[in-house]
Amino acid sequence: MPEPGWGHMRILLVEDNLRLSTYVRRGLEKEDFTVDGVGTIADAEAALDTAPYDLMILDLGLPDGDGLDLLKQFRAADRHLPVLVLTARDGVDDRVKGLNAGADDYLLKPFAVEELTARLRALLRRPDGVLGLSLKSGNLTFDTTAREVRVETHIIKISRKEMSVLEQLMRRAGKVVPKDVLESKLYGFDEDVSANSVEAHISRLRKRLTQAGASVSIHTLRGVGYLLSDGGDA
Amino acid sequence: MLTSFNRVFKLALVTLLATFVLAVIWEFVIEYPLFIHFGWVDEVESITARWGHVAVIMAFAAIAVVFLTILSIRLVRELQAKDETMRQKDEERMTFAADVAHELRTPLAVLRAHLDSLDDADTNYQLIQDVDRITRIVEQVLAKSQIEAIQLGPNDTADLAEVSSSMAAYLAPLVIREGRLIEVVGAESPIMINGNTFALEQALRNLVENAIKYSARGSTITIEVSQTPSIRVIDRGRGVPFKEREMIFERFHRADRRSGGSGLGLSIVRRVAEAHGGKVSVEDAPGGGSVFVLSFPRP
Repeated sequence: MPEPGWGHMRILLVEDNLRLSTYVRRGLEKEDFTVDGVGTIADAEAALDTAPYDLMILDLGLPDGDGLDLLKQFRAADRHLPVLVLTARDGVDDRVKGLNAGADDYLLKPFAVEELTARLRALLRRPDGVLGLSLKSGNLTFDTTAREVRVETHIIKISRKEMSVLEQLMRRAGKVVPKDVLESKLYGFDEDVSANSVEAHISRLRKRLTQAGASVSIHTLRGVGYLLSDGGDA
Repeated sequence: MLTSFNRVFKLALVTLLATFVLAVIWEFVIEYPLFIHFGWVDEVESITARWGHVAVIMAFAAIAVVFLTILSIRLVRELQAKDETMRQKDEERMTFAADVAHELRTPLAVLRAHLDSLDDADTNYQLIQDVDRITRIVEQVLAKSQIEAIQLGPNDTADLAEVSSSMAAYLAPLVIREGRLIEVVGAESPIMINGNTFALEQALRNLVENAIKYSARGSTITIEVSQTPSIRVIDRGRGVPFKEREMIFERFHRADRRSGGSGLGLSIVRRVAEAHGGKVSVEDAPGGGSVFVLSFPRP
């Protein structure tokens, strides 16, 4: 379910591969983004001059030049649009080059459209939560402004500490949150964090989520951290 | 390049100096007192004549040294040209692999994005898995060529604990998606070795992917690092039969042809181990499954 407000978001997609551009556009439009696609640097420049965009998705290898040059020019002109770079070249060098030229994020081809939309949302949220932040995983929603957690439509009651742990896990849903990150969040409430404190909070949280019928699961990975998955896995 | 030539010149000078010293010792310290001792007075030549002998010896030695120096310089040049050709070939091979990966990624991206835009979820799931598999093979081919070219310098250091923790965190989403768990033991403090972080990460990644492939759903994959220094990847799978333990590290050997791997994974692991002066082996895990052990020399 797309979050409200994304429909106003206008995205410029600079990608010369017509088919890739079409499918990506289709995927983003399904998520309620408004997308304009162009295939050359010249067209991208013209589009950027005529319409107000909220974000640019930029392929690096374009027929009339390197996408990074466009990015450099764009940043040199002091324009602050979030830019996500798409590239088929991996390796640390390209990434560093891309990010130095002023890209905000970087995605290696091939990618899942789901991953792309997740990254776009993260970038669009950046200016200090202008959109108000609603985190979603499976049937679980976390409204960070109202500090409310819901399973489907029912609000579930959890303590402040557990909420702060859950927020960290949901912000990085599907990825590992190291134990010390959670520890440092808990220190904010309580000076004396015992060794098992994080694990205790996690297991209480896990129990509460299960009782409330949440589809997510929290995995404990010893020596690695914690990972919240949306229940799509086994 | 200069150092090789310098060595040739140094050797030439040392040879001349040694010849001079030996000639002087022979003429003045051995022959002259000997003649005096045995009373061959007639034969005792003047000091000036003896210096003359030294000069003649030195002239011959100089001619020989000049010839040898010219020859050595030619050989050094030839060797350097060969090194350069080899280096260029390595670089070409790496660029080629990078180009191939690059060229394949765009059509794969088209395929993936097309699949994402279709509605038949069940068929898509299978096809997306196929695309992911091809993508992984492309990555492995690239990693293989990059690792082939790795030369460890004396100042290259890597932290096995850090490599293990970061790789486990990186692979955890995949591991969870595949219905397994992953844990890291012994990574509380740094374990430094003379090593290349990228290569070690690639080796560990391939070992963990291998463990996912051959272990049961619901089981845990353990990465154990120790000060020995070594990394052990333990799975609770069906283990590796004794007679296959050497073969599995060969390139394109696949234990199970249906598994759809590239057959490059474990050969990458072995290459990384060898580039670090270490080795990789496989043992039985207590209670079933296998342990892949990557061991390295102490720094």
